[in-house]
Amino acid sequence: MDIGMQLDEQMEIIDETIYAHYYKTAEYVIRNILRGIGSNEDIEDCVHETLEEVLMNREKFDVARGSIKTYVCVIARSKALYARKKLVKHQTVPLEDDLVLVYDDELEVKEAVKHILKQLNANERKLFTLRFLYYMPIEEVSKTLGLSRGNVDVKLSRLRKKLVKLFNTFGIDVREGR
Amino acid sequence: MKKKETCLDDLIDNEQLMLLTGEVFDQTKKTFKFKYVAATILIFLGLVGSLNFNTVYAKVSEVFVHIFGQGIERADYFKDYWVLKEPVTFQLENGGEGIIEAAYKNKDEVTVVVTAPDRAVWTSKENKLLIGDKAYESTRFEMGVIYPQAFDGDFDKVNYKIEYGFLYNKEEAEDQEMYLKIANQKIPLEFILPVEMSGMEVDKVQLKGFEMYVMSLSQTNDSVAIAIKPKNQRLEDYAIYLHDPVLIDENGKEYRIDYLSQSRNELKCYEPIEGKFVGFKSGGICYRTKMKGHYNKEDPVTFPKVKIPLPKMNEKVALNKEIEIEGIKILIKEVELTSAGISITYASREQGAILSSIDMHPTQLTFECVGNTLGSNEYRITGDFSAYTGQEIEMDVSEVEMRIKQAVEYHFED
Repeated sequence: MDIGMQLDEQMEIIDETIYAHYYKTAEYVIRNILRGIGSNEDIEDCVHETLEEVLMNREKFDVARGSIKTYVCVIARSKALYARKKLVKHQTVPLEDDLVLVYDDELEVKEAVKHILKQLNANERKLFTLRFLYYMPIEEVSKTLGLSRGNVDVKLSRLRKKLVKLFNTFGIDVREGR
Repeated sequence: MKKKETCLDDLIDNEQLMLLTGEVFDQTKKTFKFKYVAATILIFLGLVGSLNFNTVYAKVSEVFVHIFGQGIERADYFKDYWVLKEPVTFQLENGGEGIIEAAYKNKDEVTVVVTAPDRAVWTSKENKLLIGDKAYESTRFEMGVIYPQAFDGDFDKVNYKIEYGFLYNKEEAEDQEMYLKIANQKIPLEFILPVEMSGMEVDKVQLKGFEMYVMSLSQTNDSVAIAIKPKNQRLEDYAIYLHDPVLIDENGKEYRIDYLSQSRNELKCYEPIEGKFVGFKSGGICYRTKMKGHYNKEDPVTFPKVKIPLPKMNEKVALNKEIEIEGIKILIKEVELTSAGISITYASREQGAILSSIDMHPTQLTFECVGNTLGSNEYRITGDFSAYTGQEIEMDVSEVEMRIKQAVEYHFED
């Protein structure tokens, strides 16, 4: 066997390992975003697409920016949201806890978002990420953060108020729902 | 110009998304209890070998613990809990101080108790995140130094390094968390603060870990919240929630607590007095404390004479005069004299009530105060019109009858 073939085989093994290792991670993210919308097949397809993209674009992965797991989550989220859009094209299925910003200037609002996210503490950021970016149900959030459901509700409500307040200081209105 | 509308999540760029995602998915989940400290525990177990229980100061079956991120919890499930003889402090690189005072064991798992009480260390003036990765990067402490008395294990051979942590000001009621790095393994540390109320005994085992002042009490439907303040002024205030608390007397007889007043450094309970109340019990724990004073119905009570000016016939006079009988304040709002008799309108401190009219003759006087500030207790003040001079009514209070409830005060030792 020549070196090229050996390398190919090794790459295949690595790919399979990565695929198997991160399947659950991707599925977890996707299942939460597609819950109530997609079938198991939709979810599986999405997971497959996610991992394919991760493997195909491995050169884009930058360890300085985050772990492979993080990378997988981000890709999975993006795939799931895209799939969700397609699936709900003719339905009105609002994502829970969606905040819509009403603004004039896109550049300004992006800067404001960056600034505001820095104003949040680590726990608030985690909550924000889980709920507003990954649309996890409260039960999942509470499990992930090790908090009671009630506690999550309270923290979420505070966070929502805080975000609205912070955005308002930038002259940006916030309304709920997509 | 028409405003644009975009979902917040669409305005987050990839860089931010990676960061935020990493914070959640790439870190050990901060979950209560032992699940996520299992790694720490296993390492500890491996290092500790056998623990010498005799060298620890106290071992209790139950204790309240404050778990950062969780609040005060009953530690019923902590089968073994150790409080160090002397808390050991260690210096953080930025000048702050960490304290380790206890450790607990559950099944085969052992974890340590670390507190970092100096708020100034953890928060900046702007209440922003102060401690980032770098702040703890090179902070090291020797576990052997920390546990000279408590454990016979090999802690002295192990370096523990706090890799980094996030700590926030309490004003935002945020959780605190910190990570230890042990042998290149990043491990979350749970901060656990054992709570003891000063002067109390827990199942006759005196805990010396932390001394607290009881600051205030409040009651919800099924629990009593006790705000406590550690004697160490640097520590934050905490609250303990007692579910279904009951009073116990010195013979161990239990009484349900109907009401607890909110007052500084004292616990007021209103119950039938059938013995000396010397503590209260919550769950399996019996709390005992010295009682500085309590209502004793054996004590002689001098009731005041209550004099109310008598109005002219068919006249209503606003008095707004407060009378106090045995600590019960009653506001006599107005008095009216009609052919039917004398009508006195009065109010307790919170809720008004109208006294049924009484005739002109000396008769029994009855005040019934319901729902006053002393809780749902009912007070019956009985007496006679001992004199009716034509100008004023003189009421002789013969008895202040707190038939349903009595007041007992528990003062927690300073």
